[in-house]
Parts: sequence; C-alpha cells; structure tokens
Amino acid sequence: MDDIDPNLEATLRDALRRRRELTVSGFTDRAMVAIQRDTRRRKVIRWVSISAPLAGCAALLALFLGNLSDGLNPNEADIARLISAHDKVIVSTPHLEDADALVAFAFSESTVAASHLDTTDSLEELMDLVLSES
Amino acid sequence: MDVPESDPDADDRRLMLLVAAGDGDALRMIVERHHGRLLGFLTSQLGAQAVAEELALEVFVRLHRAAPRWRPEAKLSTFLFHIAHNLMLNEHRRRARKPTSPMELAPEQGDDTHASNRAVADIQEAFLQAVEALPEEQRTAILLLVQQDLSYEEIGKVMNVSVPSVKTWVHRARLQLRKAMGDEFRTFS
Repeated sequence: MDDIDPNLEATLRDALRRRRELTVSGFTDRAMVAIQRDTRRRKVIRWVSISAPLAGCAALLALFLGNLSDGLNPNEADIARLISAHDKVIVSTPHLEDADALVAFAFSESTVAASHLDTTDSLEELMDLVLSES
Repeated sequence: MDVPESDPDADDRRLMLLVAAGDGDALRMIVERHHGRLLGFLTSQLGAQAVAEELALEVFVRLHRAAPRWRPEAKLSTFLFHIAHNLMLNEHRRRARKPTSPMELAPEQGDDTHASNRAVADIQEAFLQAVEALPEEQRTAILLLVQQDLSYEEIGKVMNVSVPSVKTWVHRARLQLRKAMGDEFRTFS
C-alpha cells in the first residue's frame, strides 16, 4: 500500500524518536497522589450515595416524629440549626457508632457545615473524618 | 518487590494482578515503567508538556480504577495508549469548544552547535511540526507506528478501528508528510 521513501522514513523515525520517551522526575509521586485522591473521592461518593436515601428518612423521623421544640436532643437541634442556616442541600446520615446521633451536612453557596463535627473544612475532609470514625 | 526483567509484558501482567489486589508498590512500578513513553506520545500529540503531564496523570488514575476489571487480552502498553487516546480526543473537543492561546513546545536540549548537527536538528524539527499539523487520526496512527513501535493491530485496538483504517491513515500521513517536507527534504538528502 505504501510507497515508502526510505530517506524520508528514516528521517521521520529519527525525528519522532527524539520524543519517544519523556521521563519527568517526580511524575510517579504526583501520579500516586492523584490516584490516592481519586480513590478517596470515589469512596466518599459511594458512601454518600448509599447512605443518603436512608439517612434522609432517619433525619426526617428524628425531626418530625420527635418534639420539634423543647424536646430536641443536641444533635437534632444542631440539624435544625443547619437546616435554617443552609438552604441549598442537606444530607443527613445516622452515625454508625451511635444510633441516637446524627451527622448532618449542609451546603450553601460558599460553606459546608456539619452538625456533628462543627467544622467548615471541605466536604471531602469532613467525609474522611466520618469514615475514619465509622 | 522482586520482578524479573526478562519479559516486560509478563511483568506487566503480574504487576496488574498485584495492583488489582491493592498493591501500591506494584502500581508505582507500573507508573515508573510506562510514564516516559506515555508522556512522549502525548507531548508529540498535544505540543505542550504541561497538558501532556496532566493527561498522563489521568491515564494512570483511570488505569487504577480499571485494574480490578482488567484482563490481559492486550499488552498493558496498548491499554494505556488506548486510555490516552480517548483522553486526548476529549482534550481536542474541549479545545475546539474553548479555544486557548497556542501552546509552545519546550525548547529542546541538545548540542547543536556544529553546523551539520544543526541542519539535522532543523530538518527533524520541521518534521515534528509537519506531524503536528496532520489530521488527528493520521497523526495518532503515524506516532504509534513510527515513534512507539506499535503494530497495525495494536494501533487498531488503541484507536478502536480496523487495521485497514489504520493502514489508510498511515498511508495518507506519509503522503502528507512527503508533500509538506518536499523542499526541505530534498535539500537535506
């Protein structure tokens, strides 16, 4: 099929071979960090996707079947506070170590908050903390 | 880890099994073994080392994700080039949607002080620019064939096309290059 010009082919090969390999120092370390970050992110997404629907039910039960005013336990009160302060999205999950406790994540334009952890770290860090606790 | 040097493909298969089992050392070894060629290929494709490095990082992230499902039906290097090719197509689509300023190649290092060396370097540089100007399929096919030593069958797997398609693109690439390089090449040879 090809009418190969040997001179052209040899020169092309020499030119392209100059860039056959490009070893970059530190690349492997960067790749390992990127892979670890991806693994952590996927773990968090998986965890949230499994727990969120159940947790939503648990949070609703805790908030609406219980006494909504004076009878709230500290966690429920925290969640109620988060609901009022962050109107974007709320994901609440039962704390695995303590059936009565709830961990709630609330999102607004610029902040992420958690009732159980009382921190404004990134969601990923919060989820890491929760995962390490559970 | 004691990995024999005799058969690189067998070593890759063994390493991938370890990666699938969660072995971080094996993963690191795979990155060490393959990142040079991947970066060479992606830099030749994209013309910018920084972008090539970002895509190469993503290639290894995706390899790690795929490790539990990976089956050694093709060489690991072919699989890596396949991931890289798909990411590169996404990158080209992204650039087409959101054009950016042209990226420049990092200057080549080398001792080109001697006149004849400089002439060779010039002609090679002209070749590289002509390759960069090829249509995407032709460029990928000729780079994988001539630069990375893949067979037509392997290139077909990387690009997800038939072998005749690969041969057609390689043929057209050679014609294009001969046309583009005509004058300079006659001077050179």
